[in-house]
Amino acid sequence: MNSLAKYLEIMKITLKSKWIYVYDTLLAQFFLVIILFVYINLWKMTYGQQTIIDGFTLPQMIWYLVIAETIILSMIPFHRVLEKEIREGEIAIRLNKPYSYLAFHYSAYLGETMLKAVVVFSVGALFTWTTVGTIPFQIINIPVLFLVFFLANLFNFIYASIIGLISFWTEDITGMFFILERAKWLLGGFLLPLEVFPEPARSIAESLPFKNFIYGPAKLFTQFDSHFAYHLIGQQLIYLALFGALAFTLYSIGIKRLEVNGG
Amino acid sequence: MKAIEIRNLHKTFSQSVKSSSIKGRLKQIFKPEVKLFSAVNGISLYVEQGETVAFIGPNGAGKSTTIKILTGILNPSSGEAKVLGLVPWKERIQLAYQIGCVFGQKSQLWMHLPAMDTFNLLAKIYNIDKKKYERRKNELINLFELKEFLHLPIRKLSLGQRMRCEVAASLLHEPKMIFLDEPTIGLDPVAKNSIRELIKKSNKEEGVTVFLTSHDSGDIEHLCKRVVIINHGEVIYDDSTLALKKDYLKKKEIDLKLLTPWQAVDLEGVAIAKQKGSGIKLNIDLNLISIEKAVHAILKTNQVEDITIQNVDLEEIITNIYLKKKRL
Repeated sequence: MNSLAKYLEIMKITLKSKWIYVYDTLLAQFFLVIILFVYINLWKMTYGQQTIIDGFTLPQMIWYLVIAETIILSMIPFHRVLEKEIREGEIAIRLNKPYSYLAFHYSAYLGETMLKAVVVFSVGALFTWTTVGTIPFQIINIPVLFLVFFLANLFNFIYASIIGLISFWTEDITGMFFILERAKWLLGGFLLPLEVFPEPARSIAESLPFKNFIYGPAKLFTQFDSHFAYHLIGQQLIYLALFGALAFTLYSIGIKRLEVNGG
Repeated sequence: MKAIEIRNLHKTFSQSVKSSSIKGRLKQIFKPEVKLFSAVNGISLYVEQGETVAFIGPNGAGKSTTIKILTGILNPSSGEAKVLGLVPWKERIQLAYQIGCVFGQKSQLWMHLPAMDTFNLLAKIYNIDKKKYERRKNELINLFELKEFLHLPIRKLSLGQRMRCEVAASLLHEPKMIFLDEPTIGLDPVAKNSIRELIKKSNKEEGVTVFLTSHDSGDIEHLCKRVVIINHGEVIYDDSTLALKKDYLKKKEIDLKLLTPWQAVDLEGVAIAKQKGSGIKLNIDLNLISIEKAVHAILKTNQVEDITIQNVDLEEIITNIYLKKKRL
């Protein structure tokens, strides 16, 4: 119970600290509005007289994009936080406290991304609602959707952690992160649902874990189906366990070879 | 139980060597060159509970590395160490409940929030009982005189005010031992004194063991009863501060720029170290003469354009200790 209280407090203080910049976060969503504006017009041209493309109506396609953008744009470059702490020795401030290093960072990550997700979703939803309208939505589905988004957020943290923890072995992870992160976005269905992908890109994307953390939640929001939801949560949990174990192993080995030299 | 027990502690770091030529760089992609260097080289040390120990040495001597091993941040390459009966790198979390750390160059406070928020967070992190926390918090607020700026964001505080908050934050969970790594770095003399007094008070009133590293001889003189000097990862001196003061710290240097040729001052404890043109450097032995008397005599017999008084450099003290050891 005490453990949970300390991590909740870390989340709370991060939220409080980031709240100071809530207007900056809000202004940064100008970029999101531009993306949505461009995509709405592109899709309107593509749909023309058609009402459905690959199982998605035009409003569903745009709401899909809003959710995918919310998942991706609410992320913080956590790999850089880890890289900086390991390379510059700030990890010393974290490790002399009685908590798990990764759990501390996850609590802080959750606090910051929660705030960003609310801002991104609010701006995206407002713009989409006023331009293409709403889609059928049932309030009863909210708890399941929250769980799916929460697990997607956790996966993003673990994925960035794995890349960040490589700093224990290499000096610069920027290039590696760029490639691996873009691979996640593109093959996870960030800009388009997997149904729209041409072959063999679709088969490749289907075989990778990323679809469960971008495409899955976005599709579930636009076309809720309880069977799909159970399957998605199951898949999310399996990949979280695998990637979580990898992150934990990397941390356990890496921390023993930490080299923070100098004061 | 001893506060610190270290036996033959070693820590070796590896550094990748970068070639300056393009050919060399390309070669290093496939065969990286790694250079090993020993930051801590067989240190053995014992500290009793309630002691105040200054752990000093020049840059790169291995002070911070030793502190990081003792606080569980780094794993040693070999050797044994126990802090308050616990092996730091194996029992990091249990140890963290019993120690406090202040790294002068790294802050544990949340920059955009008032100190009170960090205190509240630390209370949860250290599982401090609500009533106990309220009492301790108020105690520290009064002791460190934090009330007037407690509700201001840390980034708006002066360095001195920030350091007071840092030390208070480290003492919030009533640690048995506090590690201070350059706690007065960058502070003005008034702020330095205030931090020193506060640490001294915690040691006297609460029995907190103090383990300090600093380049400031004032910190050592005011705070610590014992001095351990290390260089190249080895202990080269371990004695009382009184002995060190008598042997090495009781010396000052006076740099003079003269308007007229130097008129000798016949005083015991004043010796010329260097003379060039209108400039002269004097060594003053404070065991034999006070700085006030020496300056007074110099100004009485000479016309001085500029005067600088400084402590003997720590590097010089270490060189002297080395030379003395060699002679033995």
